[in-house]
Amino acid sequence: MNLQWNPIEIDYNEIGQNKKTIEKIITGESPALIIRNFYNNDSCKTIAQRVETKTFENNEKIKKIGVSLVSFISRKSEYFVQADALRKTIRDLFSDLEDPRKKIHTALQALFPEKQITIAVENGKKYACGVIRLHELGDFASIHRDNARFEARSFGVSKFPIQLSTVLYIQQSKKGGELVLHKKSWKKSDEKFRNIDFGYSRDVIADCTQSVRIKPNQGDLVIINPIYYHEILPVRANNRITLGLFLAFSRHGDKVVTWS
Amino acid sequence: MDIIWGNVGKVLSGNIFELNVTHRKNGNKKDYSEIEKIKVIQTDIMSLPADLNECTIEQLEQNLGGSFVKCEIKDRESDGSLKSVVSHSGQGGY
Repeated sequence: MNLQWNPIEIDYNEIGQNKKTIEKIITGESPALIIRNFYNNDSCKTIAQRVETKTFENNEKIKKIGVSLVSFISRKSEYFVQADALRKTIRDLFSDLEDPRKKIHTALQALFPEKQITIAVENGKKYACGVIRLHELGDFASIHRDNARFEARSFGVSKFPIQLSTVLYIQQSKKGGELVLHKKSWKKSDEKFRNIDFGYSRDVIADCTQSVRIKPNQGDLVIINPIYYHEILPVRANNRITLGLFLAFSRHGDKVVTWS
Repeated sequence: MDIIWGNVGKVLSGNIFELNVTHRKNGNKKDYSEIEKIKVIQTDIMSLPADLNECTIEQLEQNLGGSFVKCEIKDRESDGSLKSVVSHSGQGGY
C-alpha cells in the first residue's frame, strides 16, 4: 500500500486522459492535482505586470483584485453588487490575452465531461468569477480551509456537497510562498481553534501526521480539496500572484458551478 | 466596550445561547468565564429574523450552531446573561 500523500502531476495536454484523477482529490487520496504548463508564461508575465501596477486598498491583509465570497458572509447583497462592479476590472487584466478563467472552465469540462460548467447564479444574480491575490514580501496565509458549506450558509453555493479550489500561478515567488497541504480535513468541532481574524491556530493540525509542501511553477494550475487544511508560507522574494476560483457540484447533479 | 469571541454551544432559546469563550479583547474591563450565556440583542446574521423575539430555537441552532462569533457586550443581566451584539468574526478561509 502506498502511504505517501503526494500530488498528482500531469501536463495540460494530458488532461483529457485524467478524468478519474479528480476523484482522488475529492476523496483526499491525493492532496493536489498539478496541471503543468496550463497557461502561457508570457501571458502570465503580462498579467503580473498589470497586477503589480495596480493600486490596492490597504484594508486587506493580503492584497487582492476581485471579490471573495467569504469577505461578504453577512453582506450578501453587497457581494453581488461588488461582483458586478469588479467584472470589468478583472476582465481588463486579461485583455488581449486568453482569459485564464475561460481556460479553467474548459479544463473543468474535460475533467467533468458529463456536467455543464457555469458561473454560479442565484436569483438571477451572477457570482464573482475569479480573484487575484498578491502576496508580497513577508506575506503568508495561516492554516485555513476554504469551504462555503459551513461558513457561507446564506449563499446558494453552500448547498453543494463537493467543493474544490483551483489556483492558477501567475507569478511564483523565487523564494518562499510554498503551499503546504495537511492531511486533515475540517470538522465542526475545529471551530474552537479559530483565529479572530483569519484561519486557525496550529493546534488544529496537532494530530495530523502527513503534510506536503508544493511549489508549482508559473502557468501551472493546481486543484485541491480545500476542506483539507492548508497554508501559504511567507514570501521571501518577489511577489507571488495567483488567480483563484472555486467550483462545486453534487454527485448526481448536472452542473459544476464556479465562483470566487 | 468589552468583546469576547468563541463558539456557539448549547442554544437555550431563540435569542440565548451558551458561548464557549476562546478569545477575550485585551483591555476588557470585566472578567469572563470559559462559558458565558449570551442574549442576542442585535446580529449581522442575515438569515435570522430581523425581530429576534420571533427567532426560534431551531433557527438560532441552524444558523449559529458551532459557529465562531464575536460578542460585543452591552450589559450583564441579573440572571448572569450577557446582552450582546453578535456577529460573524473573521474568516476560516478564503
